[in-house]
Amino acid sequence: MIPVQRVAVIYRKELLDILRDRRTLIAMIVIPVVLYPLLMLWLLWEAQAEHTRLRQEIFVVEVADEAARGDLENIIAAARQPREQSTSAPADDAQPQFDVRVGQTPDERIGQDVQLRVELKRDDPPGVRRGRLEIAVSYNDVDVRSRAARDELLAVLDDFRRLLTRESILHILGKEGPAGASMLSAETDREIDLILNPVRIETTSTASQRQRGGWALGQIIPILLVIMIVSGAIYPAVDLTAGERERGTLETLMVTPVPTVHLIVGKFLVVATIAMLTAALNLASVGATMHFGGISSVISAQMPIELPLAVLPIILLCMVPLSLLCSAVLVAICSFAQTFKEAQNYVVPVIIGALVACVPVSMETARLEGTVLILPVGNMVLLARDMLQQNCTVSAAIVVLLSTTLYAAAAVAVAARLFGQEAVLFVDTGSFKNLFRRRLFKQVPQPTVAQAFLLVALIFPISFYGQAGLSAETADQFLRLLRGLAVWQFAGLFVLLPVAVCVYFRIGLRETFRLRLPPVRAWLAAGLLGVSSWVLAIAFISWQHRLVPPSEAMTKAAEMIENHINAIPLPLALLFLAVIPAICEEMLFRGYLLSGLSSSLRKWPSIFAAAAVFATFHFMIDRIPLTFLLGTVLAWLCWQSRSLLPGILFHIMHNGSMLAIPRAPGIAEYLGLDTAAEVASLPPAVLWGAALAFIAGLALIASMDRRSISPAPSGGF
Amino acid sequence: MYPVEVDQLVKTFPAVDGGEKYAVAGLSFHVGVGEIYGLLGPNGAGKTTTLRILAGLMKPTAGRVAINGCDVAEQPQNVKRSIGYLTANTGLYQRLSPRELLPYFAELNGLDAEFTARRSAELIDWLGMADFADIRCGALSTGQKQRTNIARALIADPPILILDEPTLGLDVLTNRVILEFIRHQRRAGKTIVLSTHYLDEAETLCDRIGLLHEGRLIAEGDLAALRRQAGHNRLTEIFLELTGQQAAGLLGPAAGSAGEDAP
Repeated sequence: MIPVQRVAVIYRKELLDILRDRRTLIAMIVIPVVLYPLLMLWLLWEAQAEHTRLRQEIFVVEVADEAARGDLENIIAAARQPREQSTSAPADDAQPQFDVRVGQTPDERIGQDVQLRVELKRDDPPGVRRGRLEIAVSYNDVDVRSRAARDELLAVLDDFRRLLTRESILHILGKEGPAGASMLSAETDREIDLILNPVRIETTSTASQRQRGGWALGQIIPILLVIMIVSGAIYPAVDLTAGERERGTLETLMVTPVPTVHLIVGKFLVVATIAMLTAALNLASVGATMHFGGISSVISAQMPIELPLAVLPIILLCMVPLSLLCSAVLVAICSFAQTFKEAQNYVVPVIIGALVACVPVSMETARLEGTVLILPVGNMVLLARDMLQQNCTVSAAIVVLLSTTLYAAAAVAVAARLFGQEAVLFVDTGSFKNLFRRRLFKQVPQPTVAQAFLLVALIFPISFYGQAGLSAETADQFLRLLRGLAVWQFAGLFVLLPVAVCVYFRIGLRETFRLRLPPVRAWLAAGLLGVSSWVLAIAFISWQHRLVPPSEAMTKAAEMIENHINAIPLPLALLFLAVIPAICEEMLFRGYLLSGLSSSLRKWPSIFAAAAVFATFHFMIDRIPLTFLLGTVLAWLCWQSRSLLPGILFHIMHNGSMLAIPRAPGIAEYLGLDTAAEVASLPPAVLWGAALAFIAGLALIASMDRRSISPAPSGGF
Repeated sequence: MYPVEVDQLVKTFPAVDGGEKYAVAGLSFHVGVGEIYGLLGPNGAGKTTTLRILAGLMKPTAGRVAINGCDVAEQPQNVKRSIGYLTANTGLYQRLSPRELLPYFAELNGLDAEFTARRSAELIDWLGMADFADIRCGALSTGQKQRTNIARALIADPPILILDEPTLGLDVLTNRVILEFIRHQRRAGKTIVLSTHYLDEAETLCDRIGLLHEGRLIAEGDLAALRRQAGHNRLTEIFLELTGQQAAGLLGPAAGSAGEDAP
């Protein structure tokens, strides 16, 4: 039985099993399909009902004495008369009523039986027709009715103030009184209006209706999606790991002739499926409720919007890596738990962690750029938000999806590694400390796929954050940064760290890093590839730029780096950008990573996976396709030759040529590389010659007989 | 070559004090074709650990265990293809019926649909499971669950059976069905390694018995050989004599009765 079939068998059974559980169905279907719409509609109904209730309310307003009561009632009556025609009047007919009473309610009781207390004081200085009216309004800002009464009374008082102002102006103009008012000319009326409103301010938002809709959805959907995915994955993850152990079925399963990795992949795919189904159902339910339940029309009443519901399926699709990541993390964590209950406790930090990652990036000022691009969970929240707001770049989406996929792969590998361990399988004999006790490790020729992915996933963000923090203004600074990179990234992270892991876990260095002399054919292949690949790389980049022109920012960044590189001496450039990266990258990607992958995967899946990770580590987006292709050839060369050395030679020659050729005046001129044109136009003879040499190199790789090269004792690749 | 070969098997676990605790300390035995080999011993003697290593669930600290010629540490998948493994605590998928469960384990063993259908029907018939084959396992009685478990362990018709206290906690009727089934498997040429606390059961069922004490094999042979070695007739007395225990109460469950076994 091939692995895919075996995984499919496990997947089918686990899915059937979990879907027969009422708890899963309730969490997956009842909550999103029934509960969410009901909850949202109820909230909407409640909000509308509250608005209506407040409009129909009779607010109790307290004043100090009968005189004040008469004054306030007169003010309200006078103000309400013109207010009926004012633009600030509410659309509906209902107006809150004020019940003005005399009393002395203490402050702490305002907001209970009495909503407002009003003090009126008239300051009538001698010599003026009418003095200033001072009104003090006391309210309780934690009581909704008191707040509503305050807002309503302030609106009434504002209208009264306008009324008085108008009367005063008429008095000054000598046209006081109702008769005079009715005889006002249109010019006078306009003048009074100008005095009352000397400046008219108008603001207009340029956001389209769709953008407004995207903004509105962007506030809730991304975080909601993360919560849905995590909550959807929790129950199946617990049930399929700790639940299985508690029921005693794990031992039964482990005794079948199925590799642990297939078991865990089958299970984790079920968890991811349930998580995605939960998210999809929730999303559909929320979308339908917003569209059909009247929520969008409520929002539209204030500002016309168009909900970008068509983007939701694309966002959901982008959430697949996140659901894989969350599922794998939950499966890995729940694998430690002995009981269902214990596992439920373990998942709480995962939920909190996911929410913590969401909250800071959910701020409106947060941008999907720089280090946030690879922040687990948070980057997906921002990606979903930007997609809803039509503010997402393809390059950012690629980095987010690739980095999340890398984390997910590492988490799956770790889950697979944990799942079959004695310490995890048997409560009575094991201890989790055994997983890290060096004396219990047996010498093995190569790392496991879990060890490989875990280390690479750890190095990835460190490397990314490190590089993102580096920027150079001058060539000297750039050289210093290159020295730093050579030490801490290439030597430290790419070589010393994997070597340290190998030493600690008793993993054979020679076999892991393919430290053996290759056949002559491999050297020849590396030489042919090395002399030709740079030509094809230039042609490939030119073709790619014709197809997808790079962004301005990307071009500027590339130009800046190129200028810095050209400013440092060639030998130093070759050392720091060709020799050291080539050796160290080969050690990590074709040594440690490919060895780990080959312990569980077949030839081509291992090669492609290693190439994909290699490409992801090259953070310049437009170089990802090219580095993937080069990574594939390098991994194939390493696989066939069972040695890292030809790959190092090819890598050095490729990087070195890319650095040295543009500096050689005659050659650069001949190749058309001395112009500022973004798209290089290589002579056909050079291009064809390089293509032939490259094909010859590939043919040599294909012709290598791996069986004739001494393999590792345990049969490593 | 014997179907089951255990040579100088050692298994240690980390002790609380930071040292190592020996669960199995240099155990050697073999089991031939069509033979039932019983592992007997008090709690903590190392029976279950030995059987788990035989089943490829644990790796030996030292020594070699070969099942059908395959080393359990180096070829665990090949080992698992040769065995049917059953414990008293084995659980079943609560939401699947026996008729759904058997094809699932058959598929995991790489069996084709035709063989699976025939084998499932045979096992359901032999073990008297027809009445409950379509009921979900969560609703079955202990005896019905154990019959289903036996069917699950035998679905691939493996040549070697590893049974860890297969009759623990069963009623008399189910006990009899299962013991008869084990005898039937022996007649069919299966190699069987089992552990049990029921000494009378071991006496009537096993061709050879290995007495384990503190991870070591202190006696081995058929009943006659053990009688000669200990100078007693009944297995209970032989057991007490050879383990050096004078008081039956020190052995945990009294000889001939069920008890727990860990690790």
